[in-house]
Amino acid sequence: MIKINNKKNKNRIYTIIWYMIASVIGIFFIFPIYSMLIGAFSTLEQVYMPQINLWPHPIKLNFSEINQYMKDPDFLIAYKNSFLIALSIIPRVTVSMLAGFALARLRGKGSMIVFYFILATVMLPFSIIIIPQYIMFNQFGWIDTYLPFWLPAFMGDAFFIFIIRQFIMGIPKELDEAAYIDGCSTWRLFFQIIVPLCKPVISVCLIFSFVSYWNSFLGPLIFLSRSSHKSLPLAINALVYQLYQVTPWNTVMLICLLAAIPLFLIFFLLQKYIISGFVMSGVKQ
Amino acid sequence: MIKFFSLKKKKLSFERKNTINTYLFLAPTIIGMFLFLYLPFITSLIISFTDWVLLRSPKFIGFENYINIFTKDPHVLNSFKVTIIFTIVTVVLKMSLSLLLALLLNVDVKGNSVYRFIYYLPSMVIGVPMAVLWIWMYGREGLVNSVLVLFGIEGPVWLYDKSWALVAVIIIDLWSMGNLVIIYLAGLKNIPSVYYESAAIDGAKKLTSFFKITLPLLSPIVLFNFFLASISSLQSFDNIFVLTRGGPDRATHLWSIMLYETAFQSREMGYASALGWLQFIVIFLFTIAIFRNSKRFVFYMAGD
Repeated sequence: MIKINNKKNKNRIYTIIWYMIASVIGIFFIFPIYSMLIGAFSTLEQVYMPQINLWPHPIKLNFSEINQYMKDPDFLIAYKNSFLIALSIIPRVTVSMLAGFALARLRGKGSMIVFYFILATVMLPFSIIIIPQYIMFNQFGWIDTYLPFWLPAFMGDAFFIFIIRQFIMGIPKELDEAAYIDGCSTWRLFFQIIVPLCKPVISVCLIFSFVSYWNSFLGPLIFLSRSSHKSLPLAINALVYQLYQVTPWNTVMLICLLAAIPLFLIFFLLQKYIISGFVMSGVKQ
Repeated sequence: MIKFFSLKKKKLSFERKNTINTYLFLAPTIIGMFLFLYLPFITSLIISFTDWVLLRSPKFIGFENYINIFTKDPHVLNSFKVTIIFTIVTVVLKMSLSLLLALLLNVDVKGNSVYRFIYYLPSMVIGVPMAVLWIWMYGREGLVNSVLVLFGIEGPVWLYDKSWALVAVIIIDLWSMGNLVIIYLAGLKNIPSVYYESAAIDGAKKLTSFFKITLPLLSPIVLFNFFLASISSLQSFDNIFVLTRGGPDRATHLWSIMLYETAFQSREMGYASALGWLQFIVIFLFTIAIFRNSKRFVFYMAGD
């Protein structure tokens, strides 16, 4: 009897220690975000006080201040601009599906070479490519439009093509054969059978590309210099570097919070796909 | 005879049709990647051999840009140092700390998933909003200094202090290591508990089984994470540009920031392309080194 008790107590102590360590670390991770939440609803004085605020006193809804500080473009327009850029993920993922299917199933002559060239693009750093891209887009008059984001979207994404190919290779070939026997054309096979089966990998691609393009900064920084087309990250950056006597951190935090909401939404709604996405992305050999 | 000929015809037709279909499906990708990736890639090499400044006509100058980078430019050495220090420190710390956290989270405790969510949350709040949040937190009366005051320390004005700016920036990079933790966690859960149990029966201590079982079986993931983290740190731009613009006094002047300034503020396209190509060569050599040596460090589970 005593032996069992000792084991239980030992476990209890270890568990308590675990909670203590995990919580201290957890505070490091979550307190900044919590502060952002609090700061977004504080008054200007509160946000400058050298103390740790656990709750805003008084609670101030700074929504009206947003348009006072964000002038050109104003907040809603910047939000819309970010969406316009982020929507380019649709052609991106679609074309990646087409390519992934071709490389997984069709495999015509020379398609393996094409596959290696597609993979190799991962190694091409953006810093080398933006300069000629900028020069090229400048010649065509595409600077300050959304074309620099939408047109390259039609080439797909090497990483997505890779994981889509892996995924489709996991779909039994018997399915294809049954469809062909029934007189199905390749296109029908693709659209009506393969695509619906690829919902998990398509979700993962959509999630990751949305997060990436919603937050994208360098691209818009270079290609969208005119104020009215600025995306949200650009507008926030400009806001913070404007020479105010006193930077309105409470309003800025509210803007950041609102800017981060689509990301939180995506995370909440599609949590299980994200976790499975890590396992799927070829980590396990 | 006739049957033989018609069979042969059918076989060719299918293969040909298949190839045509393949390239129809691949057409957007092939055309797009050529136009927007490979063509710029090659063009930038050519540009790096000119003295092109935007709005003037370029003149071919051979390797002069590259020579100037190594001999005349005072900022190059500084940026190189900053980038290397940043990369090494963040990669080493991120890899080790996230593994420790994954081990911590691998314990079967109630409410474990809440902690998993909390550790992962920061890596969802990436980009400019996060950088701006930390600019606020690192202010003179910001949260970080307020916490330090509790311990009796008077904190510096982090992002404006030449000695502390890089430290501040590294801490922020570590704050978003949650995604690495999740990857490690997935890998840890993939190790069959049978291995640990039989090791325990054979009398192995916890530390031994960590080094002899966990680490080897995690090695593909470790390599994957190490590679990704290194490449991304070497090319880091967004966060630090927003946080410090490369300052104060070039204390956080990463190579990518120097590149941006040269290309889009000074408009020196030729010189900037040369800077970019040097960065690429470093990354390329690093990648080759990793893949060459991967067989030595990585152990794959039998049957995978």
